[in-house]
Amino acid sequence: MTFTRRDRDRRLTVRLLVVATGLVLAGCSYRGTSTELYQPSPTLAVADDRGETIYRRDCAWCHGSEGGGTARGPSVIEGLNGPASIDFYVSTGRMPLNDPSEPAEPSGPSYTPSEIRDIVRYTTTLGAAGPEIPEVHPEEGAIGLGAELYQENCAACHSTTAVGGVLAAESDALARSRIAPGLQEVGSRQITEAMLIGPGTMPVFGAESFDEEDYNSIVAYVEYLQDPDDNGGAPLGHTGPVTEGAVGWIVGLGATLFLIRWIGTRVGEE
Amino acid sequence: MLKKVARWIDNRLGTSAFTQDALNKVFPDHWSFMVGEIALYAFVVLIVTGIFLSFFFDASTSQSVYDGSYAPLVGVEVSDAYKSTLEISLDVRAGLVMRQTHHWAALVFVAAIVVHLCRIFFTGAFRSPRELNWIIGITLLILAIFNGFTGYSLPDDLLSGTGLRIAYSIALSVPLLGTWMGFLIFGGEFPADQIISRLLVTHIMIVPALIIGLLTAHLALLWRQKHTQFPEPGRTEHNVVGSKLWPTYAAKSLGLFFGVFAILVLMGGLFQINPIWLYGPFEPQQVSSPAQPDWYLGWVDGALRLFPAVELRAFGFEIPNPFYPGVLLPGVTFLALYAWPFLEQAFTHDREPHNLLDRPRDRPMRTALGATTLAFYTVMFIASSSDLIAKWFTVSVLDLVRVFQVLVILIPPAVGWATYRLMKALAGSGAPRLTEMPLSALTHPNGRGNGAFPHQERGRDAHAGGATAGDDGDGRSAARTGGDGALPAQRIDDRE
Ligand code: HEC
Ligand code: HEC
Repeated sequence: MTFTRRDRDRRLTVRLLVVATGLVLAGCSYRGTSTELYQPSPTLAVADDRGETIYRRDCAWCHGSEGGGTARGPSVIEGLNGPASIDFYVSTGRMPLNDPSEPAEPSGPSYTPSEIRDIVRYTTTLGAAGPEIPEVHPEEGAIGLGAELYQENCAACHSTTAVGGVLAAESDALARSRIAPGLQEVGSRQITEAMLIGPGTMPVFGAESFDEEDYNSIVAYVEYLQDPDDNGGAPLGHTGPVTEGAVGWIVGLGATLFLIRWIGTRVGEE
Repeated sequence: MLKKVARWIDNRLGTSAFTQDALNKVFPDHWSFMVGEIALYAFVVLIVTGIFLSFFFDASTSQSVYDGSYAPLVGVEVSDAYKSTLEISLDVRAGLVMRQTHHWAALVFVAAIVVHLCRIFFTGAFRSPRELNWIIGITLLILAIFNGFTGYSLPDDLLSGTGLRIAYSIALSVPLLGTWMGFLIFGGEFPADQIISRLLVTHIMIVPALIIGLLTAHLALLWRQKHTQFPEPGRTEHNVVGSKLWPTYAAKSLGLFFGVFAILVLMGGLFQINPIWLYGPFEPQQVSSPAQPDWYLGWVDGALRLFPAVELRAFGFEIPNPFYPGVLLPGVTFLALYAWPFLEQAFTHDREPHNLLDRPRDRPMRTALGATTLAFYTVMFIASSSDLIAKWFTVSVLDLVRVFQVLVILIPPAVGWATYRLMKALAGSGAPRLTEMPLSALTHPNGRGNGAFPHQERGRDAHAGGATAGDDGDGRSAARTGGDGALPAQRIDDRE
């Protein structure tokens, strides 16, 4: 069998392709191992208590089996941590994180309400003694008082219309400390818990700031802002003069300019 | 009977000759000449809706407990100004659509003035003999912006209070006079009780009266000096080609009026603007967030955000920081605008009267300077929403401000340079308009003579032309139909 030059070239190409594919695959698997997270097998952590089971399986590898924290996550038993904070972090979907370097952002909760209750109960046995899960009755609050308190204490960060805002933080700060999230989706219990524990860069609004009526009123007003009296047409995102200016130029002036172009002529046109 | 009355009036006042003249007056048909009319009609809408609002607005800052129909504020202390605005918005029949139409009309009013200004600038319509009307126009722009701001401040809600607080700190920053000026304008230390009633008088009497007076002068001068027009075959320095006021142009203009009215009222009905019930009443210890002014002051807000936090001393005085972006920048801006026709005359030594317009490409340097300036203000304008942009893109707002501080210096010259190249290329290519310019013209900006559009070269100095009309003997202008086209033309008597 004789090889032509072309055959040799082709074989070389094939070999190069094989090597390259191998390299790519190796790279992928390398990436895979580096981000593949340590997840203790559930069977190791079986316990009578469902809360304990979940905690050992989903939380302990970052927060430590005694809750005292690891290099991957802070302590969940010190400071203000307690039923309210565990409930807040888990029920807003901030926890469990998949990756310690990810920001803890609100998303859908990963557990059912009864599972969350069990996790809370279990972490209390570890010694988390912060605020209890609050009882919230927005219908007992005075929405006018809530409006005043909200404007005074919360609007500067979360925006007057609760669509969220930015905080002046450097870029190397955690992503979540740069943004005060919009409060459009959050439930009444979580609103109160947020005030009690002050997640992230949010200040704590504890018993020394507000009484029961204040909490109920603020929650009532935030819930109102989630679906306000939207008189006057499309709300344009409730962001104020910026979107209004854009609509004024694009829709308003745009339509009138279109009109004059229509009734007018241009050079060379009669 | 009607005829008799008309004759009776005419015998005493001699109005028919004037009316005849007026009805025959010729208006150019180019669409861009109607931008100013948009502003005019938006102003009419502002007056009509404004009168309606003034029936219900109460400019007092005396406080009382709200017990109206808006449940979330029941039991809250509010000022009468805020309360009456709430009532207009939620209780007065058609109140909200009037209020919103008024606000949208204000945004479109200033926007149309700015576009009109650009049209005048880029076509050189401000040149002799129209410098005076340019000055009046700039004054109208300032008054429009000022009246917009006073109106934005009237409802006494949290957002407008935040705006007033910024205005107060800008007033205070003026060296020597600042404190005195702040007290004089506000009638005391911020938030002074009298400010809303003072704003109201300014907003509904003083400034509108000035605007009406200047607008009349603006139009009278336009009437007297007659329109400019684009250079085209048949259009010369001495005629105006277009439609006669009666019936063609009157019909167009009336149609435009109804159109502008309809668009603004539709916006007032379809898009929410400034929902002050959500913003809540003004409280001295609170600020709203995000807090932006209406768009026409966005550039000042942007400048306040971008100006570095330095305290400079001048003439032995400590000059507070807001002075530079808040007072000096607008001052220089408007001074430069006022001075532009004279600056240009000084540079080009061209003091001749001009009735034929420049196309932007005919004066690439002017066009490039204008584009540079627009880019500068646009970057500052965008920087005014830095907080919203930072949120939308989840970047650090401090970083973003730094980026804008660089962009505001880099972008304008880049835009100016690109515009200059583009205008040169366009002029060189001889293409009738930008969209028809071959791309190759960009790489050979001076490559005339591809010969594709030879007729364009004629336009600028076309003197002959069939549409020119003659003098009818008594020195008054007469409109006639030109020889080759159906276009009526009017002789310009600007040197009588
Ligand atoms: C991938 C690692 C990881 C896992 C898994 C994880 N967390 Fe966290 N947790 C973190 C990190 C990192 C923070 C700090 C987040 C921050 O401040 O942005 C945190 C914060 C918390 C806090 C707030 C602590 C404080 O003092 O601010 C609570 C409470 C919490 N986690 C509970 C849980 C629970 C309950 C689970 C299991 C359902 C869980 N976490 C799973 C990493 C993890
Ligand atoms: C200094 C700025 C600041 C102030 C003031 C502030 N917050 Fe927050 N708030 C934040 C930040 C930042 C977060 C996000 C924290 C995180 O994700 O770790 C947050 C989170 C929240 C959440 C959770 C939102 C979600 O989607 O899970 C609620 C609810 C909340 N805040 C309510 C309030 C209320 C009510 C007040 C007023 C009593 C208030 N905040 C005042 C900064 C602030």
